Amino acid sequence: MTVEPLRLVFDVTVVVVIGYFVVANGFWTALFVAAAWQMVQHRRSSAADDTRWLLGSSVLPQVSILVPAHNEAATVGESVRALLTLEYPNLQVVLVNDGSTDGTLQTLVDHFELQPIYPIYRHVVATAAVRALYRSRLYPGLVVVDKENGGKADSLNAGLNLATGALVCAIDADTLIEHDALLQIVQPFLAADDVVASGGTIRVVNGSRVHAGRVIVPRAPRQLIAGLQAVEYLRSFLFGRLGWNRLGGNLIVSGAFGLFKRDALRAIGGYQVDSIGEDMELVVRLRRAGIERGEASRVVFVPEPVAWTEVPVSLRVLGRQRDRWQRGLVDVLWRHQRLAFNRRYGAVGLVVIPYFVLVELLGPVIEGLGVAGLVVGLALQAVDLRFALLFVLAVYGWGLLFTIGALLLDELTSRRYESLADRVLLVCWALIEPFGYRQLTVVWQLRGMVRAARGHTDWGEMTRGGFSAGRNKVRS
Amino acid sequence: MTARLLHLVGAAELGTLVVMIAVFVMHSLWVVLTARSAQRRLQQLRREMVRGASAEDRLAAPTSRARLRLYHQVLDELAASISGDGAQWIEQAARDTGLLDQAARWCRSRRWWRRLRGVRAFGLLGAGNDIVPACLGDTHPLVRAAAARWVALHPSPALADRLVAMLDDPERRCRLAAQDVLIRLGAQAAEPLAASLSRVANPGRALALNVATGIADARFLQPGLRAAGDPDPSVRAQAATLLAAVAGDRAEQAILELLHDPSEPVRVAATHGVGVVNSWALAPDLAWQLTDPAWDVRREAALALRRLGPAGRLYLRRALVSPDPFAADMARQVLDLPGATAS
Repeated sequence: MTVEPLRLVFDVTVVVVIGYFVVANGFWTALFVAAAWQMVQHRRSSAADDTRWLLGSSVLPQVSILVPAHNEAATVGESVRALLTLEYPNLQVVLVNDGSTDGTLQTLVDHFELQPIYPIYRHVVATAAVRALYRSRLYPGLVVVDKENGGKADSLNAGLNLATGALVCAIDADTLIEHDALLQIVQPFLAADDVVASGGTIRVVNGSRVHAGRVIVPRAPRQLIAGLQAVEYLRSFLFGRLGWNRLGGNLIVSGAFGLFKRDALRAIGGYQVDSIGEDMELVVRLRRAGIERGEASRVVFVPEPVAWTEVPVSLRVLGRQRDRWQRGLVDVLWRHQRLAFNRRYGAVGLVVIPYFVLVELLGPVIEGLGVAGLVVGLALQAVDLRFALLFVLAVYGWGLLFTIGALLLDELTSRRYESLADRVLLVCWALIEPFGYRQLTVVWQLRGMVRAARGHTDWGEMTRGGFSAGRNKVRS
Repeated sequence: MTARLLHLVGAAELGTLVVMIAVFVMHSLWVVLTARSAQRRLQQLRREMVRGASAEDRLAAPTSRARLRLYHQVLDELAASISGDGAQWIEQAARDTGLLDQAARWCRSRRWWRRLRGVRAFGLLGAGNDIVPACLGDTHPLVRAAAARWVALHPSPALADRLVAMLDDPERRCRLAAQDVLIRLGAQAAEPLAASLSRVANPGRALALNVATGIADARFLQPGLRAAGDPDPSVRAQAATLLAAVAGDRAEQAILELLHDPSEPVRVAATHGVGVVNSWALAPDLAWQLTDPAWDVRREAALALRRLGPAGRLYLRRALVSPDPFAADMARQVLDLPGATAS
């Protein structure tokens, strides 16, 4: 191959990559502007609001918290106790023991004096066999479902069958919810009739001080990988999801903390047990069904309610998680391909799904192509080093602006970190994130896409440190 | 050309980045540095206020906006957990310090978020009789809802009437606020609510009946009986619930008639209502409901029979050999329940 054709290939690659970054960054700029506007409106409407008023209200819908637990004996007692003391006047906690083999059920029996119950309920959604049902003698609002192992989605479906609340809140067993988060996340349902789901902010708990299932001193993670994820989460929630509120609505409500209309979930058959990205799949199906039936289909993100989650601290585990997330995305977009560029689905079909296809799905491919092209170009001396550096800085600098913008949005509105050191540390993580970590994420995402094409549907195991107990293994 | 463009983009990004980081760090620094002194000033003001309250002294008007904000913060804190004489002192303190004047100015603002703050301030600090009622008709739903909350602390028949009218508001937030406050008002809201339910054209009937159920006053019997014949099934279902809450022979009779309603939700509500009335004389009617084609009706009937005690259990045992397999199955499920754990 002579230098000229190589140069042509390189130039085409540069144009494609630059085009992609212009489109992607254009989307993100629009999201950022929308998020900032939304945040201003949110602050205005919540100024001087006293949510304690709601504690005395008799018209608040009952909320059933669905907690799937698989081998969580070390932390389940503390987690459930923290849930039972959440500020909400009409609360039911449905914990689903998903075939644990580590004594999770016995721990619950001991902590909460469970006794068997035999309620008459309809199996609206099919699940793995339920062995027994229990209610706590100490806390009548606590119901425990003991069932055969069927995975997280299956457990949530089992909880959905038992839930008596008009709203159900799906969380992970190791999610730490702030004391007033339910009073905040329920707000969209009190404000409008067309809301089917709402989601709150997920923050990274690594490094924070936790006591009795509550984060008592929020700290920015000191560990590199956790720190990078902390800014990534802030960016994703504070301007990504908040921005979508104004640009066509959200397609994702985090599986770690989301609130749904129970009847809407039951009407669509609950969670898909064979989907890897079951939380996104559920929301897309909810919205799709709502639009097709001409019923409620709005999904709202609320920035105030915060749930804390532990993130992986090893590259191996993190890689597996990102691989799975990408496979989940492929799976969801494939299942709901009819929505893409379909006018019938309004903003969802014309804006939201195309964004996920072009930016979230194809983004890693083009970004990988761009990085590989640069390396090849440099090796073959088809491009000079100065140009390559300029290109990388210009492209990743734009992304960095969004990350710092998200931190700024957080700082000016709902900051959680008290000390200056924590905030400065976050900025440091943000400055490092585009160089190395982001490229690694692209590799994991590409691996996920390849594995999706080969039909891999495994979840893989994830090791977490635990908040105050020993290390335990859970499914990520 | 491309390199030049990249240069420009890079320079613009760098400049923006530096500005954003500078704003971030300076704001963080300012927050951290002022937090301690702000806390100290707040503590001092709290002490001054408590001293002032006990000595019945008037508070001095604030000399700066920062001081006004501090007053606001402390009085808001106190107001959230104080009622009776203490609340009157807070209202007086808010008046002396100019907070009520400020709230009144906010209520008259063209900006909805200022009006909202004004109404919320009156809700916490007291007063506002001459200005907040007008906000019940505000153009912004948040302001209307906040004004509805204010009514809970300053009730009057005229305002209760306005809240009843708000049950038809196009915004869910306002309807819910009105519903909540009317239930909190209890008997004080019964008269205007009963009057509203007596009107023929009332689009918010179901919600009004729901509020009436929460209040459960005997004055709702007539409107409940009338609503039991309403063409709208959601209204009839709500009427069944209301009649069960009001109780009495006529209410019982009306609920029994609703057991045979063509609409499933109405039959479910009526069957549940019969269970609430909890009269063993109604056991045969409940037993009949065990053969209803709707699962929810059968479930309500079975649970109601079980609550009736021996008489109900007798009917359930008979249902075990019923030719209707669905009735037999439901009876079996209920009879399997251990005594103390029925849901």
